[in-house]
Amino acid sequence: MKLRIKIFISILIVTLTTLSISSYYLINKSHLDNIMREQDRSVNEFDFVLTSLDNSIDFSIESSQTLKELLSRFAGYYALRGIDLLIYRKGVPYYIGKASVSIPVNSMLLNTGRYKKYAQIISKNGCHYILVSANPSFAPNYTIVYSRDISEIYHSRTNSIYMTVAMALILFILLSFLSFFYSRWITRPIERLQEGAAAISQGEYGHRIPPTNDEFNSLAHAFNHMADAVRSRSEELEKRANDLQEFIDDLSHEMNTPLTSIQGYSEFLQNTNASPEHRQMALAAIKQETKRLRDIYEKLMQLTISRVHEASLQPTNISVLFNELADSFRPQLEKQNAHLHINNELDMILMDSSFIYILLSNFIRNSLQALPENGGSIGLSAYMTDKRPVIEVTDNGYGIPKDKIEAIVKPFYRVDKSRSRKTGGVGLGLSICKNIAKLHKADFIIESEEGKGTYAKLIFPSL
Amino acid sequence: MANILIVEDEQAISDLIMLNFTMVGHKAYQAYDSFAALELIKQNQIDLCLLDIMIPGQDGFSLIDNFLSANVPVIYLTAKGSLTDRVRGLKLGAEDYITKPFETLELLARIEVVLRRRGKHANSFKYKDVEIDLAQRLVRKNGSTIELTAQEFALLETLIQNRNLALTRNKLLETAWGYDYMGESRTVDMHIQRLRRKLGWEDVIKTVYKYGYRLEVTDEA
Repeated sequence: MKLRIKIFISILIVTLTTLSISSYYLINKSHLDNIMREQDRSVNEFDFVLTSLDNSIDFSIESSQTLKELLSRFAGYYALRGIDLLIYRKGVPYYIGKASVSIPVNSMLLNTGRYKKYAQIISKNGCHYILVSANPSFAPNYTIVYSRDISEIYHSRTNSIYMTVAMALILFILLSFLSFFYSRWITRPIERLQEGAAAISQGEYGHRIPPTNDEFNSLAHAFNHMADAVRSRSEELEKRANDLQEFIDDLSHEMNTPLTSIQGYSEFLQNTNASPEHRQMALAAIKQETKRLRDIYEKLMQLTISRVHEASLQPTNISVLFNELADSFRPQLEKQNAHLHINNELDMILMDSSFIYILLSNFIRNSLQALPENGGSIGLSAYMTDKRPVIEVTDNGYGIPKDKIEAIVKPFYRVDKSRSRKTGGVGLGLSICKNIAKLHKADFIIESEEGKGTYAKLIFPSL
Repeated sequence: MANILIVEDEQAISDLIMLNFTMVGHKAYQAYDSFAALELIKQNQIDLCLLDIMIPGQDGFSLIDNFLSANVPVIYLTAKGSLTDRVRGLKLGAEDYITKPFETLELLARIEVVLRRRGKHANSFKYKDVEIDLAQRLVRKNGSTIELTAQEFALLETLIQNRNLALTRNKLLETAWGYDYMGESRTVDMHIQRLRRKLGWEDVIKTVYKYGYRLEVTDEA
């Protein structure tokens, strides 16, 4: 059941129950008071009747006829005042008059004992009578019964009950309206929350709950906070999924091209009786394209390793590292007629040397690709800036156009596609560098000026 | 046969297409960027251009006008396979749109269609003493006519169009008989035997072991 309806029903039940119980109690109380009052009055009146009866009638008269006549006249006087007098002699009706009440013979009323008065209320034909009786001392053989109609009191009680029921009905209708709107007003913030949760579950991450000025405000605040978190999280996931999709698209394109060539050349070899030169050409192409696939595979492996592995940081001698690099690039440098200038001001840096070796190799390879045909030079230096060790690779190559510098760390991005393809570049080098820098908590900066050269800097965290 | 310009920045793929064209008798010109391509159509009589979209310099979409104004039909050959690119390419006036990876035989067939539409395809084929008029469907050997059935001629035509390339029996069935022909590879063998006998081409139509047949013409006239 909805909270709103629960509140609505409980308001109705509580109010109506309280009202009925208290009205019932009040009506009964006033009824009992009335009866007590009537009883007191009746007893007083009865005393008065007895005194006047004692004074006016002599019960010792022998003639029953005369006594009855006297009693009749006496009772007639009281009958005008709404009081019926009944006289019993030894339990048997002696004088009844026009009284509408008769008393059973064995009733307590007729055996009150001497000097005692007995009062009782009886109902007959929908009317209520109060009866008081006694065996007066002046006429021990007789029982005098006083009877008065007190139906009025009962009627007024019934009227009160009717009125209360009517009022309860009116109240019920009024209360229904009131509590309906009240319960809605009370539960409004909860409904807002519910709407908000539903909206967010439907993917409307921008949905916010308006602030209120009660306890729900902090709840609404918390909710909005959660919605913010959900939104930014889902946006992040979406972005990551997009990046991944882009990566996969690029990768499939990168792999598709060599595969197309390999397939085409092998079909060519299979289907044709080609000349020896053409055969050589096809085989060379297959070999080259296979190597390209292999390069992509190796770079992907490096990328995966640099993404998932933890660097084991060891103090590494920079001179040794630089010399290793210089040795491994010597043939290529000579081929391109380029010089490598090494300038090391540092002794040791805490690093994973195998990863940093890959990173610097990528830097140097990129520089080699950018060098002019003659007079190219590459600088490899290590120094301190702001108490942080820096390793830097510079070149005097073509540089990177300003509008492309943002994109160069993207996987498979190449500034000059046709050029890098000839030299075997895959376009994953800087993505790998970025991951390696991240493993070392180092900053990775590339600055370039078109036509002048490029600086690639790796700034390690301070010692 | 036809002079075809290949505008493709991947040298390996460009060379592959060139080799296959040379095999079936086309003359191939290669351009690796838009500048070289524009130079080549100025200096040579080009019958058809195979154009990649992502090439250095101007891209293939903006380059097409230069070819169309020189009355050179264009077939796009590209890795861009999306429907919007396809529609765009065809709306710009390309004769066809082929996506990589492609099959050599399909590429040749599509080129043949465009050349035929343009009236640039070869109408006759001559090898040693056999002369074949592809337009009039006539075959002469030493000047005397040789009667071929329609099916034999279709098979011969397929072999000529893909000469020097081996064709599987299934490929031959597909091309010479049509896709829905439910023939067996035995049918191909029988027809090949008859062609060889009628034309005296026992050595020219070579059997490629475990593969199919190849019309081998090394020094065609």
